Amino acid sequence: MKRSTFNSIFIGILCGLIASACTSKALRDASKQLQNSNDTRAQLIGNSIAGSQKLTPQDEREMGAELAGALIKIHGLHPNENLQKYVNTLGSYLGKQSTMPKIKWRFAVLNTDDINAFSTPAGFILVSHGLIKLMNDEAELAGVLSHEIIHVTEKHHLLAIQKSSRAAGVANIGKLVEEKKKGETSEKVGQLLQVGSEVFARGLDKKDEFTADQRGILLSSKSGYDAYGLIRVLTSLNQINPTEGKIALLFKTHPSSDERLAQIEKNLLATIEKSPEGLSLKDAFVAATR
Amino acid sequence: MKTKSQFIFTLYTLAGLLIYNSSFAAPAVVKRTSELKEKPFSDAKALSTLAEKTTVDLISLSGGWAKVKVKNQTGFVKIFNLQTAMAVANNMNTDFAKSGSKKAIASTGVKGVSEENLKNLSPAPELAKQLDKFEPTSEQVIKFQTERKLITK
Repeated sequence: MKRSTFNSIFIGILCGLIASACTSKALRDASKQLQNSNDTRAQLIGNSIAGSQKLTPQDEREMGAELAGALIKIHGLHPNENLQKYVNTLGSYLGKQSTMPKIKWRFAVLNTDDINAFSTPAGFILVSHGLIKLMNDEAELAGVLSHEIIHVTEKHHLLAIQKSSRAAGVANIGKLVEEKKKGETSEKVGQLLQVGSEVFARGLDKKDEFTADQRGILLSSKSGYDAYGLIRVLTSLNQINPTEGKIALLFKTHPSSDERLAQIEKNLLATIEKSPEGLSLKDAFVAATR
Repeated sequence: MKTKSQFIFTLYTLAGLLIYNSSFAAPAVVKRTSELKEKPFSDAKALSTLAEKTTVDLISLSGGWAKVKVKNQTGFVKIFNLQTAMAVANNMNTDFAKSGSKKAIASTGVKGVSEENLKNLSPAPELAKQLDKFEPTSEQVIKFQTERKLITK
């Protein structure tokens, strides 16, 4: 090989490595910026819950399991165990890339054509079969699961439940969980579920949804997936009449898909365009879900 | 107002006829002047330039691109440069409702079964416990990543 050819190849590889490092850096910078903007709020939430409500990680886990079980009960689990295993494996992989890599992430596919996804405290994530049927590849599913993972890692539902518990006259959600653990559970579980049901029927703050979208996209991209996965799902949702029964709840409890897309375009598109291209994995998704 | 109502109704009907199944084309509108590309790449050949508000048929989505058909040409437009007709109708409908001049015409308020059920959650902790059996081992997660050649960044 001629020396000049060798030099060209060497310089090419070097440029490639530098470009890759820069684009990965853009992804990390954007992630850090979003993280910082959420840190103050997360700290406030943490102080509030830790101070007045005294929830231990175990308390959070119990609350999350209680709410997840009640949500699963509405439609039941989808009978395809291979599908459940697939979603749990993909979700666990994404969870390990999140800021909470060590918690026991649990995922469920709900047996309904309704289009929705839920998360409950401490790592329970539920996605409807109807939403999976709307998707076309694994990057889209990774985008949706990452959105829900961010709700968990940012403790969005804990804050909302805390707010709701005050409104419902339950002074201390931590005490409620504590009393439930001591026995005499039926009344306490009932109160907890009542507070939780209000949160799920009402939805989270818009800001929380926007944060989950943007940090979720960064999480799935950081995990190696095409950053446009969630964006394609939102575009697909934008083709459905929001008054249709099977999607009415999702649109009622979330900002419009159009508004979510506008926020992503405004705050994240430049970063996405600079990011290394990720994988969509259509074949793997079709094999596992159809 | 009647004309506007009829227009929104038409948009909903058009979009509704072509529900979300990706195998059907759905109507969409170009949000800003955009090139119609031959392939889904920024440096691909431009087939034509689409003016703002051009109506296209959205065929499918791939990466950050939408495959569209406009007149007799099929090509690719950046996903963020499109807005579905359903979204346009929803926005107009929302603005219309906000104006207070009339009730939103599409607010038929059909509620999902889930919403009613959500108000009456009942305990089933054993169902959350059932999910334990789907937990992958660390080795299975590594295998999942390796087989797919997923590179973390």
